[in-house]
Amino acid sequence: MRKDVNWSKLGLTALAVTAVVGVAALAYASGNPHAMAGAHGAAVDAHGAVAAHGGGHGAVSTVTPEKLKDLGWRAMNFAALLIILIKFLKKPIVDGLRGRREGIKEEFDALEAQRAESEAQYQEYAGRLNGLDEELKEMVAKAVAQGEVEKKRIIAEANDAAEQIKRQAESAVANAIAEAKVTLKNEVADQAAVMAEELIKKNLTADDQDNLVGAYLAKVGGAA
Amino acid sequence: MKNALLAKRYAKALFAVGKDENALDEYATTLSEFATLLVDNPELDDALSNPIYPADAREAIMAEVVKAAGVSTIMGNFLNLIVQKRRADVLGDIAEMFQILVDEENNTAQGNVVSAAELSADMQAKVQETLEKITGKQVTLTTQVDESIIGGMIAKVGDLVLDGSIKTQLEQLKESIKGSE
Repeated sequence: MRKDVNWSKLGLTALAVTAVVGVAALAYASGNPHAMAGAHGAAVDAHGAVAAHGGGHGAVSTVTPEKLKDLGWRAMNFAALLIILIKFLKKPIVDGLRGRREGIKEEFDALEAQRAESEAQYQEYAGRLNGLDEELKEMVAKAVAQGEVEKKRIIAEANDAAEQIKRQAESAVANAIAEAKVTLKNEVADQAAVMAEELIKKNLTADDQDNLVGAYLAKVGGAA
Repeated sequence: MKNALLAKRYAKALFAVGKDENALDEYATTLSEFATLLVDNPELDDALSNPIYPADAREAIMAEVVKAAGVSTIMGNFLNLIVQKRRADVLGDIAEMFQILVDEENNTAQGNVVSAAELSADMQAKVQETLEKITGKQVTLTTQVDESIIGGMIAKVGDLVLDGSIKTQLEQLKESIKGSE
């Protein structure tokens, strides 16, 4: 797991230390101990001897061996500080930078993959879009053809149904007419029989009765 | 005839006895009168034939009827036997079958003529003569008036039916009209 480091704070600290040491060195080298003391402040309390030493020679600006020696010590001190800083800050900084780089690289890779995927999808959709018109035309043509077939089938069925209904209607009419004829004939026959019966009853005399019996006897007797 | 086979069996037995006794006409008349009696008196018919009444009671009733009718001994025994055998309900069929056997024996036949009005004696004689001519038997004719036949006559001798009624002719005319195209 990567260790979280407050890089901004660490960088500011390193920059401040570098600036203080650099300014002190330049001030010291230019022979202006006051300027150095003003800028030095509390940050260089550990080097109080150097500040006191600067204050005693403020009026002279010559390069003496002591100054050179002091400069050398200070340079060594600065170098030691740099070494310490490098030793202890190098690894976290490098790790942080490496992690940052790897993170950025991963993001780039992911973005690249997304871009490739989007490109592929785009190509696919573009292909589909190009074929969509043809497919649409084909579908419309099929639908129209099916519609025509269905239309013919429906019309044929409707014609058959109409023909069947017509035949049934004709048959029903014929049956109704035949039935009406039979009914009418039966009614006529019944009515004729009733009228004949009434007429016979009204006009039949005793002599007619004897004649009827006699005629029938002659008929059956002659046949026998 | 509901029980023709059974009636024929009893009728044949009585016919054989009557023939030996030379009393066929008497037996026929007695059977006919008893059959008519049962038809005219449904209560008596029920009392003689309904199994709900005790058998001895039914036999006693028939015995009393036979005694009151004063029929011959053989005929009385036959009628009592009919009740004992629980065949009083077929007495009418027996009488009818017995008359047929007697008619066959005497070469006679029972005839019935139905007319819309009373037939004159002359006309009845003509009818009888015609029926005898057709059947070849001596016909004993009975007459009946039924105005519903309108006119003409209907004569029956055994299975023979001569229908010369106006009613039947009108029916035929009606069916002819209905059947015509």
